[in-house]
Amino acid sequence: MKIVAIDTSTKQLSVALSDGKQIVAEASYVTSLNHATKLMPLLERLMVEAKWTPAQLTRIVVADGPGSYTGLRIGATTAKTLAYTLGIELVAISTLELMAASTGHTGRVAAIQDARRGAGFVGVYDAGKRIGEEQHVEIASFVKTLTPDTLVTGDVEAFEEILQPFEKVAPAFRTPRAGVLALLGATRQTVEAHAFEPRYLRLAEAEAKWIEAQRHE
Amino acid sequence: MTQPLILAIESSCDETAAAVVRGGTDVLSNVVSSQIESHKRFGGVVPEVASRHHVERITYVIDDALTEANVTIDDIDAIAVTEGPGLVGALLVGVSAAKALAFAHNKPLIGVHHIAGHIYANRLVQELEFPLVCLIASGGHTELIYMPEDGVYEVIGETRDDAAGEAYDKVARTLQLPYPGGPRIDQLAQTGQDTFHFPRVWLEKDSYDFSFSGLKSAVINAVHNAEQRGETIIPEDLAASFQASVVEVLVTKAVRAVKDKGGRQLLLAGGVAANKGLRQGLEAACAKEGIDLVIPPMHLCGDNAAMIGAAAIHPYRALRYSTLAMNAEPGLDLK
Ligand SMILES: [Zn+2]
Repeated sequence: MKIVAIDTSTKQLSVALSDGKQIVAEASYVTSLNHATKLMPLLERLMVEAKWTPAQLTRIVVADGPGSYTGLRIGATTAKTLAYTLGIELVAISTLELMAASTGHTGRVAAIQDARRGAGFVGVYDAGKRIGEEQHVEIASFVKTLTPDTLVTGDVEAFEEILQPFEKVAPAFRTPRAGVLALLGATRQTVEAHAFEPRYLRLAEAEAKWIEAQRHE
Repeated sequence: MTQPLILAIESSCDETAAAVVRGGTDVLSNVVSSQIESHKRFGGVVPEVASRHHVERITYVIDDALTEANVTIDDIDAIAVTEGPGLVGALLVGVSAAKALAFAHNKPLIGVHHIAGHIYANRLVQELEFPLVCLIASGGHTELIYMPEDGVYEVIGETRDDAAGEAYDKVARTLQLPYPGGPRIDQLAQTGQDTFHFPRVWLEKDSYDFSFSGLKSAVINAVHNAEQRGETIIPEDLAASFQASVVEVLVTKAVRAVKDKGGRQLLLAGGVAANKGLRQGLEAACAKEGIDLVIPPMHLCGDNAAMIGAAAIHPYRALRYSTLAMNAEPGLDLK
């Protein structure tokens, strides 16, 4: 197997190659950089150094959200176009699951992304299994649903006060890693490349307003 | 010599498009997936909604373009894509897809300016003769461009406020016409008379620039004044009067530019090129002045990828390739 994994869903950019059992190469930019300009040169460099050619690839794994809308589209479009044009498998994995898995913690983990104005995208995983639905919620009400033994990861600094009672993942393990993504995706069910879309978990603002207006009529 | 085959992608606004063009002139396929039905409910293009639709449609459109052209990706010599200007989120989908294709098959990548695409849409119907002048009129642009030779652009005039297409949309909204309003105004104008005599804005004597915000306000005022006096406005006449002002200014400046610059051709490009009033005005003026006027057929006036494939042939031959670090450039200048 020759797997490429791509995550551009948060401000971090991460790319990895894997043979399905091990991580062959992995690189991340942790600071906020322009994913559009960095993704393909980074992937190309890893491929060259690993002496892999695009024609040898067997599977693309992509983190499909939630996350930054623009970031999600860059990763999703790149992944689905690669899978389509190379005629290879495409696997989509939740960004929140990836964040939980990237902590290396085997117990219960809540992954949180800051979506501003007190809200966030959240998902809870226990030993890799999802507990409840991933959603866009008020973080203050979300934390009331968490068990005390839950470890929190992601944008924990944005909600420092609310998350005060919970143990936080060390900063080095808070960012999603494409190497972890590649291994998670090695055995997962594939999706159809043409129909694949990122999971935004939120309507576009204009669409939400339009639906609201319809309801009032 | 066999002519190069270019696979082109365009996603700068609300059309997801891909095409295969041979040698910059021969359209083997031209697939356009329009989002207009989706944006109608909002009364205009919503960038986030447009970007999401592009992701849904992009690989279908690329695949259809290859299939219709009866070629495979291996037959393609280069991948061209609209780099800008346009909506950044929308552009990024086309750019990301193009880079993935170029990388996967080790093909040259060519970033194309959207307006260059509109200009070269003309080359799909007639060989270009330089020097030439091109009038660009679309929802986002009103420009006069001088091209001394192939691939060289000099913007000699541009709008100082609204684009012509924008003024059309605003006047359409004032008349409560359904989106997109531009074609509806053109339609109404066909049966109306210029009874309002709106101002023609010429700016400085030798300027090729345009200004449409004053005209737009004059139209809106005319509608409000009539409402206050309890008079009914004949929409056909209002549309005809508005269009007469826009067309006269565009035609006069374009013809003057051709004469001043010694242009061998006048090209019309951009979405507003589909406007019957403007076509008729230009045809009449160019016939009178003996100017060779080139107007693309209707299906090449709106945004499409064949025009991007046509514009890509010059940079392709000049080996002006882009790298995999190419970004979407929402404010890209035409150089
Ligand atoms: Zn256009």
